[in-house]
Amino acid sequence: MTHDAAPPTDAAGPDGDGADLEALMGRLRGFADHVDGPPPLVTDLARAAFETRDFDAELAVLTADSDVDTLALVRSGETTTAPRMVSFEAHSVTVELQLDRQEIGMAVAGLVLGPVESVELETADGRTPVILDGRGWFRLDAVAAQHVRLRVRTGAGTVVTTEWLRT
Amino acid sequence: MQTDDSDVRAPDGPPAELDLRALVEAARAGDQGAWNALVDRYNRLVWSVARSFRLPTADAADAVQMTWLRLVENLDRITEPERLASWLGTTVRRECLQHLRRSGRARTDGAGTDILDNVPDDAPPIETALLDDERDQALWQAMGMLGDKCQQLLRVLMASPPPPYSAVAAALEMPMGSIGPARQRCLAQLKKIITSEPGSATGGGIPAPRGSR
Repeated sequence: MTHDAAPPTDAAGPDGDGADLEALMGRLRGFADHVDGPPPLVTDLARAAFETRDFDAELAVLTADSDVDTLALVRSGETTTAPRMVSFEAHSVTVELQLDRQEIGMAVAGLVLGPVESVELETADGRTPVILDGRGWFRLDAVAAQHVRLRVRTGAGTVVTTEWLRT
Repeated sequence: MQTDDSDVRAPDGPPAELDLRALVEAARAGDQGAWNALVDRYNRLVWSVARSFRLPTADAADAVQMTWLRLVENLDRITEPERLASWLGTTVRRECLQHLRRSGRARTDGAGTDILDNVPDDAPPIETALLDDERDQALWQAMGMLGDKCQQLLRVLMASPPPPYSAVAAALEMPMGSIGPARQRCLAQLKKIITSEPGSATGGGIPAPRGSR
């Protein structure tokens, strides 16, 4: 028996070959890391993800997402290159974003409404200031990142972030 | 029937649920060391799920990174640490599906009703050259001859430490009660392949046939 999380109750067949099967599982597990373990960089990135922790930020609630039917679409074999549209709501701020995959990175366009003091676009590499026009719109092209989130500082000094997004 | 991580424990350590709760709480309080311990415990599971969807290395790496970023942003909302593995399984599954959809690599024939029917076949082939032991080479190669569902299930189950069935169920969207029987069935098929193909033991370095069922 391996120390598998849930020892199968049906492990032993009539000819008692359950132990053989468990041995196979044990061998697979034994060389899993060797043939296809997570590359060191992947582990480093997982650890570094902790640096994006924002103790004081309010995570805005996702209220709409054009990708919400991802599962059904994959099932139907459908793919899409249409822009992803997402909406967020926080206590005093609403955010609409459109993410468009480009040849390099993505284009991020959006509308931020509410008592906004400043806005930043955050990637795994850091933060970039975002300038809103008089009505709250912005657009950034060629954002060289796989994932982004928007970080909004309100006039009241609170911080709101969206969840991490990808195209 | 197991419903959480509670029977996954370090070989000589305390019951996992005790230090799991402590780790989550410490990470919430900003302890990078506790976070690293969570990564060490679950990253191979998360990676295995991404690979079980046959994502190429770059896409698998991205799905895994996104999963951990999401855990950081949701750390305060994980009220039941014992369900963390399931949460990670669900999250990485969603990231993988989004990759498949957005990458434009899913098949467009629309014929299948299963996720894996629409998974591209350009995933890296099973590579046996890394294994010195000929029996292990044959075993790993035999994995590539299994049906897609068995390959996916066993690829997740071979993660270390052995993932709780609740996490496997979440990652593969299978009823938890079906995992044990499916596991036995798939292992039996695997055994049949290696015992019926003695020649395959010499096939080191040759990529296993993809998509042969």
